[in-house]
Amino acid sequence: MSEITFTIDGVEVRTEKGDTVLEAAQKAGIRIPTLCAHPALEPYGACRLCIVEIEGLRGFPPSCTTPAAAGMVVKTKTPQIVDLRREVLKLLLSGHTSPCLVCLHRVQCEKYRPVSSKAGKTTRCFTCSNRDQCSLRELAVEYNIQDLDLPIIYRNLPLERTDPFMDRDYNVCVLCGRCARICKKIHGSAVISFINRGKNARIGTAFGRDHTEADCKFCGACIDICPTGSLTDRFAKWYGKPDEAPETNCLICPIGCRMRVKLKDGNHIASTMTDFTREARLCAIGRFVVPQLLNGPRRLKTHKIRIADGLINASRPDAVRGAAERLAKKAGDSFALVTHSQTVAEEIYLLKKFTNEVMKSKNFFIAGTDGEKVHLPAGIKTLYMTGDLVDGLAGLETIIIADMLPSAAQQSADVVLAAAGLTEISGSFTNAAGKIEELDAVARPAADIVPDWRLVCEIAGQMDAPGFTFATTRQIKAEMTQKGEAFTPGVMPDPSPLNDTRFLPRWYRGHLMSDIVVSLRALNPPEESAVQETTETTALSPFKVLEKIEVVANTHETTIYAPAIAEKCQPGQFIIAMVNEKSERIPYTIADFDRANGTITLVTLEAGRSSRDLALTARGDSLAHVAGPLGMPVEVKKYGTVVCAGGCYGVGAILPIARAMKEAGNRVICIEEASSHYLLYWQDKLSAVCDELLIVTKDGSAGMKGGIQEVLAMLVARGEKIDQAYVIGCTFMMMLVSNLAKELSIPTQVALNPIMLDGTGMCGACRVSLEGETKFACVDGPFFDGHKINWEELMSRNTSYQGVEIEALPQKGVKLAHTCRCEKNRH
Amino acid sequence: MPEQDPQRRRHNFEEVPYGYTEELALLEARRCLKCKKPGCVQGCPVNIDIPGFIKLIEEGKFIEAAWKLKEQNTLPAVTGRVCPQEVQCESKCILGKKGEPCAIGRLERFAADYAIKKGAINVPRLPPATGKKIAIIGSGPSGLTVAGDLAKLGHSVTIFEAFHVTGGVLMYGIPEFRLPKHIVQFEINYLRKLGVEILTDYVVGKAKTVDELLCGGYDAAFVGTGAGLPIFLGIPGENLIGCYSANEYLTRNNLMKAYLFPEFATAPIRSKCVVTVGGGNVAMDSARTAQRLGARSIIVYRRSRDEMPARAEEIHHAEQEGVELMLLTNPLRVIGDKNGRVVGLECIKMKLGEPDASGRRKPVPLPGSEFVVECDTVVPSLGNRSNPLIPMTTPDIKTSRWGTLICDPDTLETSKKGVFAGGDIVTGAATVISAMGQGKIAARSIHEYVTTGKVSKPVAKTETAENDKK
Repeated sequence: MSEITFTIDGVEVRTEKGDTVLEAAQKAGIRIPTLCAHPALEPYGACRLCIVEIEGLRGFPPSCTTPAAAGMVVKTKTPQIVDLRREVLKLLLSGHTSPCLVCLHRVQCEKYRPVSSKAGKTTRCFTCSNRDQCSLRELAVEYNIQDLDLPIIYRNLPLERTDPFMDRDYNVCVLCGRCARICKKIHGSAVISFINRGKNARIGTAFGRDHTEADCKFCGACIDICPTGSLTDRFAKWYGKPDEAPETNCLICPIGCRMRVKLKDGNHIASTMTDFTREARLCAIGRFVVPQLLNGPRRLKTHKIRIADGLINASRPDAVRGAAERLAKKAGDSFALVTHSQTVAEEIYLLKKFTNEVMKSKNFFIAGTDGEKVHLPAGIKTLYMTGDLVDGLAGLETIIIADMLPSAAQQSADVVLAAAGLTEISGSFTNAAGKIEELDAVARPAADIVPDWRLVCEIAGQMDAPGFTFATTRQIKAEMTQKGEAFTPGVMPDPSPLNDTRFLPRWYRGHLMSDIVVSLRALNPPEESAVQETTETTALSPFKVLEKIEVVANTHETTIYAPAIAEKCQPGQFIIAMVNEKSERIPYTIADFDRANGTITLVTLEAGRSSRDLALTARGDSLAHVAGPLGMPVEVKKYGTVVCAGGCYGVGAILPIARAMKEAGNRVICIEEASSHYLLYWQDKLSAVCDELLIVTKDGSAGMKGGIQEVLAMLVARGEKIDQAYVIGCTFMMMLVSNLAKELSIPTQVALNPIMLDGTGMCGACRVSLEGETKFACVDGPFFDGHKINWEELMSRNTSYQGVEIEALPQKGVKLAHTCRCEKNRH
Repeated sequence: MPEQDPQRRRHNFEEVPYGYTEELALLEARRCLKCKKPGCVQGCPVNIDIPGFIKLIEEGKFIEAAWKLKEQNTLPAVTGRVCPQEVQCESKCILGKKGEPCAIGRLERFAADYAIKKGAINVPRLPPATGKKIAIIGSGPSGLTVAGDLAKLGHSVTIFEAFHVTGGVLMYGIPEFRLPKHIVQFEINYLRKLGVEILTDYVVGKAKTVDELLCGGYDAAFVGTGAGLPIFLGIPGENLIGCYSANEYLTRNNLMKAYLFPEFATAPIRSKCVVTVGGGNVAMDSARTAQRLGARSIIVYRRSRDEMPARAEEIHHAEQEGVELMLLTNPLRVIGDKNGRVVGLECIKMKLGEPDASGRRKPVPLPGSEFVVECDTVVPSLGNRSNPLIPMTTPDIKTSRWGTLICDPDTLETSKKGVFAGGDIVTGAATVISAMGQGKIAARSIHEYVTTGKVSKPVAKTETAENDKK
């Protein structure tokens, strides 16, 4: 290859002939911003962010598709280019849900709300799981985009969450095409591609099929290469940006794919390819299932010992001692040890050594990866197994199980040891090609959980057996080499699971993986599943859903038949709802009610498991429980001029208050706040009950730019005397508004929505401080004087269950409740 | 009585005592002297014919014994478990003068459980319907008792319950390991068989008020809304994350089943070390629940063991399971970290001084003895005030300065005509059985009121349970 020389920004650059200008710049360490370009992909030229100026060439060619030529003079940072790039970026942002980027209160918002809200559809950065890893956001910050003079186009495409493992929200997509291109590169023919044209262009499958039907291999490359939050890993998405990404190999099948392990607090939450090439691809098991085996809710986290007829939790030393005691004097061929091949060679060697030398038995078995259980020979009385690997435990006197997942066999065990495995262990693994891979333990299990080989060393130590004082697998390997142990490769699976999801590995340690990771059942035929899916029993209830629409993205309007509540409820009150018998009791403000028809209407956001359950209900469903009306209503009387301001779900909540205040003879000004124009709703309903409706958006795409506080300031500036204000919305917004209202001496009532449990004053979970005095929001509230609230404490208390809430989110694919277009157009 | 091994049970939510076997029950029943003037019956707030049911057990008629219990007691399987028999029936037992009293509570539980196991429910022949409608507000022990007694008299009874589940404190407060929830639901189903209508998710006062119920066709109302307003310590740092009322701590687990998270959606409280403040039965329930959830569990109580209001058996069980007691210790302040989460509880050592108004020796702090207990969860368990919902929404009902309803102690009629009350809303926080005893009195009064329009004092004053232990 010959080299060429040219200049970029006055610097002389040498590069290989055939490189693009972008590649040459990157090699020379000169930064040119990119979005659609990716080192693993062919030049594409879709986003136009990498434009440069080249002397002698007309216009501004994209550097990613322009081949470098000798003697070229390239400029990347002229004011004109930077300006153009900003315009390009704005165009991209106008097709993305980006109002947070141009919001006046962004810095404050991110300080008070460091974690995104667990929404369904992504409506803005604050509801985006990819917020901290978004390329577009980084560019917007780098280019200091403060204003968008273009409207944001929100297409309101349905959220696609029917497939296993992944959520897709193409409303956030910037059409860079990376996903479709990587799919084609890795699999030859792309499952996803551009569909439709012009402004309707989007990414999708042929004929709009689910990915499972469209022969997707679920390698996850599209998720990992997506620069935005359009494509997300359902299990990992809300954990936020990973802390580390070391590499190791997958141990599930003999192929032993190399993978990059995304760690959050030491937990393996996702695995990705080490490179975006066909050779480096992963199957769905490595990409999605392994993290869920390790960190899903069913992982064994405690050791157990049998006392009398029950198993009790025990510390590792106690459990190891218990195992050693039970194995003492059991040496001989009545002992058997059964392990599996989905681990490192050192572990298998050590377990065999334990069987032969400590237990003086020749009965050592390795179960295959096909789920076939081992049948023990006659005469076995004592069993040690490292999984659910043996058929027929009857007749055994002592059973010790070391495992990572629960099994029925553990009910009969004397000791259950919680073990580490997969990416949590180090050692040597001989893959099917015969290559010996040296693995490092990259994921970190809980403190008391160690690999099987270490458990056996500890047991042997308790039994005073010599030769088990290993501290590392390296030491074990040294002994193996000394003894001339062979590292035998496994058998290459054929056909390969990498090419066809029908041939994915199904078993790990004798557990059918689809029993542990439910979403896998969409790929494995369900009739092979040993566990019947449990159907939830929902008692018959009168709380029937009469109407249900997604009024704007991620915001749901639900009308429920609840005559006893409708008859008595007053503006400002709330209800406690449980969608099914296993739900939380969640408070929702009553947005409207119809006494004649016995209905109440709720406007809710999807922000976690319970609000998601409510969002997924459809007309004709019934909620299990609705209790109310709860809380104190607002005091309706003639104040003079009353401002009713709402944001998010609060827009619904201010409607009955505005109506009542108007009926009481007040001059009512309603303020509706939204991040952007596409999140505004009910303007017609609000207009009908107030004297003036003011719209304010964070991006200025409709009405004023800013928030409710900016509108209040404007009202005061124009000479309005506001006698009373009611503000409902998220805690952050209410805090900002209250702080200003206090300065302006506007009496302000805010409706607080802290964590509640019973909602009737019984538990005190919802306590808030008002100038040092503790109140219960459920019975004393929900309305309080906004000037007096201890906002810092309230915001802090709202984060009580932040980590736990992620675990509660279901992993199975679901269909969004049907919303037909005629309903959508009703407003 | 055989019990689950403490080492085992400290990790599960299964019931602690296994209950009598048939053999043990027969042996114990034989010890009863069948006194002519049985003291035990006087000791019972609901006047169970104790010698009568024990005799049936002795004769091997276990089901008949259970039916005998049901005549006076709507919830025998419940009271057999949670009654403080040692200060009630069993304290009056002649056998107790010289040795162990007859184990009436355990026999009661045995007979009731036997009938449940056999599915032998005896629904008595109901008298002709009186056409009178009675509203019962709250489905705790007193409300259930009133409902049972009035239904058996032929009245039409509706229970209004604010929660999604019937049973009140029996469901949200008392943990599964002390009172299995299926037992409670079985007893409540018996009421349904008697024709009692139960409306859950109905918040009387917020939906219809008491007045509206009375105007809307109900002839009388019984208020049994209990004591459900938690009392906090009133010390700094109490609103930090990790400080929960005992009500919240217990409700999350018992009613919402957070220990089965994520199958059940309510978030569990995961702690390394839980400090429960208080010495009553609820404190024991919280501390033992904490132990079962895998935390180190400490009780901080400002007086000494002798002054602890909890039942001796509960304290014993808690200690057996590994709950640590820090006696003569009073909390001063909850300490938090920069994220607003609890990291410790500062306490001071106390000594006992002169007796106070309650007759118990008053604890006084020892200056300079402050120390910090490292913990991530603090559960104040200091009791509850009465639920304010009904008094707030029923203007003409009189309350004491503690928020309890003022009633005629003999008839339990409130200051409002046609409205009766019982249980913790009248007595302040007390026991299940005292609430049930009050239920029986109120039921008698309500029956008289709806049939004659008057309420008279009973001829022989019924003894109400007066001890303040729960």
